[in-house]
Amino acid sequence: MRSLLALLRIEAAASLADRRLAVLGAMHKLLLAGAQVLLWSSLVGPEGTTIDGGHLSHADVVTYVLLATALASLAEFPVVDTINDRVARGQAAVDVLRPPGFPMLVLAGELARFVVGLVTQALPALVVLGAVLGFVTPGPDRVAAALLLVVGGWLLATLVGWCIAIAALRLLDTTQVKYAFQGVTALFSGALVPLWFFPEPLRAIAEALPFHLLFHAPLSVWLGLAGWAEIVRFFAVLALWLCVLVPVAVAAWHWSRAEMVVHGG
Amino acid sequence: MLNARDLVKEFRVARREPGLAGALRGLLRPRETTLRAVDGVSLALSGSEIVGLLGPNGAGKSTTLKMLTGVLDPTSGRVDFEGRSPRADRRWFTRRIGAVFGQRTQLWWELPLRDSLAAAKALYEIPDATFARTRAALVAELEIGSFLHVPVRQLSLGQKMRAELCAAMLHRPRLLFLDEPTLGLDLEARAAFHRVLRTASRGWGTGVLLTTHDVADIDALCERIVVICGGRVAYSGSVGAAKASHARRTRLVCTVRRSADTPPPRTAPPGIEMVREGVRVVLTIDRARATREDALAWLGAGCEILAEAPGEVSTGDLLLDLYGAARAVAA
Repeated sequence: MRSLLALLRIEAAASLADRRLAVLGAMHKLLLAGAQVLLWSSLVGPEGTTIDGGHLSHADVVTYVLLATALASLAEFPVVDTINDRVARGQAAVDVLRPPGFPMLVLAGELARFVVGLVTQALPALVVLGAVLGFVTPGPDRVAAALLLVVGGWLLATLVGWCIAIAALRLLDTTQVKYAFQGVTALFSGALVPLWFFPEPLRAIAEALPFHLLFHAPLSVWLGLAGWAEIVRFFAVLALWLCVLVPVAVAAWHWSRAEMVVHGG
Repeated sequence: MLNARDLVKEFRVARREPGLAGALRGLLRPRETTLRAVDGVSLALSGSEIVGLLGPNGAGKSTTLKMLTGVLDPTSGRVDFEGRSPRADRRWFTRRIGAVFGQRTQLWWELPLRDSLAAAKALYEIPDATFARTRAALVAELEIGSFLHVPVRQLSLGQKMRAELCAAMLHRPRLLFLDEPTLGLDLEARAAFHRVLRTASRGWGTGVLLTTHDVADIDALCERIVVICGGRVAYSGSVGAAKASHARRTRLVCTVRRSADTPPPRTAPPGIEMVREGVRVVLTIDRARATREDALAWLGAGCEILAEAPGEVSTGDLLLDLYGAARAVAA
């Protein structure tokens, strides 16, 4: 546990090492979130809009867009690039020989970068735009539930990305697979368009897939558009997907390990 | 300490035919062949021993090293370290070994070197006192104190490699794997490397398995060499014994009256090479193609030889002979 914490600390420090990148990242988030807010504001108008779960006010829409932009990296599967890079540089062979092992080194790095990205890039954009355009903050119980869902969503997205990267190593290149997953995830997670605006058949597909747990679930909780029964269902479905993905990720690792280090030299 | 028996590693390799037609055929009907990279390698390494794992490019050294470290599964054969499997007991094993693999790094490039060393302390769970003592000794021996505060990506190659060795040795490993660690190092950095490895071997009882193409590393460090050619062990034993029994080349050191009278090296008959160092002339004779008398006759044709004495075969020549002999056997 102590070594894991040390690993998280040093990975976080490494992510913070380049000040210019952090500033550029924050500006990127600010511009992206600002543009999205403008777009959605013009679509729903100052009165907001009605959805099947209730009324979505203008402030709700702004909050949704700001939070979705803050969490955007969940739909990008950055772990795929991390693994590809470590394998291409032959770094994976060195990682395997260090006590935490390759999976732990990769996962700790991903978690540290996700948290650092949220704190240094997403949070400033959220605070600035939220102060100017309005931001809905629910009670502490909903904040806690939404944050727990985000943590679970990060784990889910990382496991999906891990399976793509590790399994596809046998196919030599994972980029196309990653792009395919990014497209599907962006659509069915609610990252681009909230699922409430989906036609019924498409929404049914989205809810059958795990990706709605990345954006739709925590943001519905945050905005108070999901009742506690539905929140419990979100956690149950999340637990179910994690129970499926963890053994798949472990099996994919064992299946691909020898192949991976050969590619890595 | 480390034992490997009959290691074999085979890879499935796609056979690609040349040109567009070949690429299309490969798409429709891919063909694979089995490549045997390592073919029955056995070796043993005891504590405090420094062994050179040598061989020409593509001989199977790195694949062997990966099997010994548990990175790769052998197709057949087995490896054990102190009675346990590096692969099955990965966590236990990785705490007892250190590794420096040429161009790969275990340091965090964006951060000052001291942060990577502190991370190694946590990852290997090194007690405070041991860490402080070992770090101080390694920093002094490797002369890296002046750049501990510099981000790793800003270090020169020699500085980086010394830093890598320091990070790999902070936990005082029982066994150290080094894959071409001195590639591109200057003389000072190389000397520091040699000094630290000898100290670890004698002082801590660390066994070292070193792959290198650098003869200076072999001469300075290796008590024993294991030569791999075509995936097989071509020689295992001391450098001295190999020179006595396997060297095909001999050396003759001659003193001539006038250096200017010696024939140009390019006119040397097949199997004879000459290096001039003033009035001292070193003749390397390939015994399969020329004799000592041939060499003396060629040299003495135009100049007066004052003295001659047998010289020691260089390790480089010895390795060339070993590689050549192994290739001849394989053919």
